[in-house]
Amino acid sequence: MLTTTLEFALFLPCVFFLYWFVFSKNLRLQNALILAASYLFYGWWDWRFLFLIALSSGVDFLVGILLNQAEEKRTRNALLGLSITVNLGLLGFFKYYNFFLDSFVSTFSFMGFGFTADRLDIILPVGISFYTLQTLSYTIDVYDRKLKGTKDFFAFFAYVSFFPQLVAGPIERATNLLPQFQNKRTFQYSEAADGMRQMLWGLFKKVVVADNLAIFTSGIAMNYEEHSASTLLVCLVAFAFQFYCDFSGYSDIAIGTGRLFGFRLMKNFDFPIFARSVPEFWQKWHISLFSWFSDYVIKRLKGFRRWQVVRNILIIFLITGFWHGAAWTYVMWGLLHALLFMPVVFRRKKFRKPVAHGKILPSWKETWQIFSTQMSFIFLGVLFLMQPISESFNYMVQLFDPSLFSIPLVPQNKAIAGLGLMILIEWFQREKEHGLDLTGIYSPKLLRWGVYYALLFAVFYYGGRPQDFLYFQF
Amino acid sequence: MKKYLVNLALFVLPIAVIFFSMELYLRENYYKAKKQYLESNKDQVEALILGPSYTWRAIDPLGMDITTASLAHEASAVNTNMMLFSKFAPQLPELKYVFFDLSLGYLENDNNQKWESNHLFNIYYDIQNYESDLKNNWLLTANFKFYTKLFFSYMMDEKNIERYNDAGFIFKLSALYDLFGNADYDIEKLEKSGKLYERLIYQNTVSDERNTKNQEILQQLIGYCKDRGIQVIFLSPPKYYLNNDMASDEVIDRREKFVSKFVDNKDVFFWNYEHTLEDNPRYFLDNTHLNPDGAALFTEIINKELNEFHQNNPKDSPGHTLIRTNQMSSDE
Repeated sequence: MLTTTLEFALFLPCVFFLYWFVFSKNLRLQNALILAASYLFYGWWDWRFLFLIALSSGVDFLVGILLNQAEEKRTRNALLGLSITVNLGLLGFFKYYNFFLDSFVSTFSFMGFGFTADRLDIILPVGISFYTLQTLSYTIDVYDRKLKGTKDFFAFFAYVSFFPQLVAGPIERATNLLPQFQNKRTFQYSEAADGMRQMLWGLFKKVVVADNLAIFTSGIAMNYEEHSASTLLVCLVAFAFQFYCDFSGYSDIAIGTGRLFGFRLMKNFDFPIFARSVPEFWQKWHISLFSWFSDYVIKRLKGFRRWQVVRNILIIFLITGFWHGAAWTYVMWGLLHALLFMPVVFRRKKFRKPVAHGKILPSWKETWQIFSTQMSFIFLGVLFLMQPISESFNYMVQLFDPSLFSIPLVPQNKAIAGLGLMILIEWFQREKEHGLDLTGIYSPKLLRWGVYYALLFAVFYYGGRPQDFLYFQF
Repeated sequence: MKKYLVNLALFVLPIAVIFFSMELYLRENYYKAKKQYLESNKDQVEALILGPSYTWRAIDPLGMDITTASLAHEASAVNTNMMLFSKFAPQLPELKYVFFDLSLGYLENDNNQKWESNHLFNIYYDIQNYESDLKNNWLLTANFKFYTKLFFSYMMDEKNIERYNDAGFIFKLSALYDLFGNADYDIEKLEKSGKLYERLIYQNTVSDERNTKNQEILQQLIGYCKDRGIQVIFLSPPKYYLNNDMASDEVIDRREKFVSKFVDNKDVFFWNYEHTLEDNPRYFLDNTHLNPDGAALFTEIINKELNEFHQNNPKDSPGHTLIRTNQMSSDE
């Protein structure tokens, strides 16, 4: 079930009603309801996927309980190893089997050995990359004794499958989300109202901006050879914003939905389109993934010597790239981002204050910093736009053409207007939680509601052809 | 919680009121009329018209002597028409003639999951040409932009509202669709605007896959009709000469092949009226559709032809009568 569909618009109030009015007195029943709703939500795609998430949750639930009892280092290691093997095994099989098979065959062919192997017709279960990391965070935290293994079946299974963030994050840590399932939630008007605003903003970004830009970018990418370099450049810029609005839009809807049920999910995007350097960009973009790798992979590697920092950066970006997809383009994307990241790290310059803090507009210097940071993200976006890697390369080669100075094709007016409005609003809200966060802003109810109605109308009237969220494929 | 629910209700209420009022208003359309007409006359219907808007706008069922129903719809293709036929033909005990559009290029089309009228077929005929999708149960959720625009165009000017009779035939055109009429049938003026040449090559797009699939579908239809003793009459209604002139040899040849394969002039016929009225723009609303004046003339032609045909090839069954006495056209 997509969170931008009518199905979800009917599903959500039903769950909300049952949650707060029927099961509110009993925490276990509330969690059971969330679990049932989450499995219904997930099974809407394909009920067979439910077995995978149940298996993953079941293994980690048992491992958690056994880790509580196990004192011996060897036993604890074995239990953690079991959890990692099962979770990464499932992920590896469903996501990477064909990739490794193809790479294996190509390598052997290159070395002169004739070798064939049949690919398997595997469907990638939606969200597997997300919930695998989420459930792994639990066993690792229990292993590290940051958390006690829970015996509460409903709380744990609901934590792994919590429907707002199940298929595209934010990837939650057990230390943050699981206790929320174990403690009574109370309804707070301000949280629910702001949650709805956040959902509306996410919906606007996804449906009005991303889906309309997608019409343009997919059209250009399909036969890019026939377009001028200037159009290809515009397409790359449009794709970067499409990517941002698609993914951050989903996160806003997810976080907003969580707030309706009394949950606080972690922030996933902190207005990265205004980042002034590549490191700052990565502190603001897909925060939950980057910090997951940082917490669970890099911190274990340790080391602050220069070569160790370089190694860690390379590892984290290669893993991040590979996590996105089973293709060399993603590995290349990770590697190039790592290379962009490094020089700035050694300068050790950190931005202590938010961009243009206390001012309306950024300084010239900040404008240049934002521009150059975004351009690197925009250009590397070609690796996501074009598959396989040879197509990305051809696309980039075609950019260096005299037609770069010709008049380009541009997205539809409604896409440009939506994008402009989004940038404007997010700029003024850049120090807030989300684009429609009204904390500290006085606005009469009539005006506020007028804005909500206008955004809602834009979603329905100017929304592009519905598209799957880009991150569902990862 | 109380404050939240009150605010939410107050916020949603105006939206709900507007939504349901618009939905109710828009649901009163020619789809509903066609469905109701078919349902209320199913024991008398002797001729059924299937096809796209070319056929729908060309024949007024109420202008025919035998009880005729039209299930022809804009942009519908062979596969969706077959779905209609499969659903409704068994419910029509007196059915003797099936008119099926065979305009140039029609064999090359297909209505897939993305067809813009899927929701209409779902709402009015309970026919699903796609995987289940909740939004297709309401007009406004299926295509909010289109129906909102349509609603407001109706509210802005009565000229934009199409008027249809009991059988769902449009007898008064909407100004939104009357390309020739809006230009006072001044072809030179239309030529200058460039609008005259829009979609002229539409009929020339060919697809082997769809052609083969459509031939199979029509073969099934012919087989069913033979079993029940129903005459299949493939029909190509009049088109404006520009459209006829633009037809490619390839698309003509592909239809000819179909005709020579299936038309036996015994159970299956092909009545080609493409060139009838083709020189007079006053009978057309655009290059491919007759306007109500053209349709009135063409209905007379078809009616006469069918009467003669019927006398020469009687397919009588008990209760059949050529002269329809219990139906009156609303514009008579």
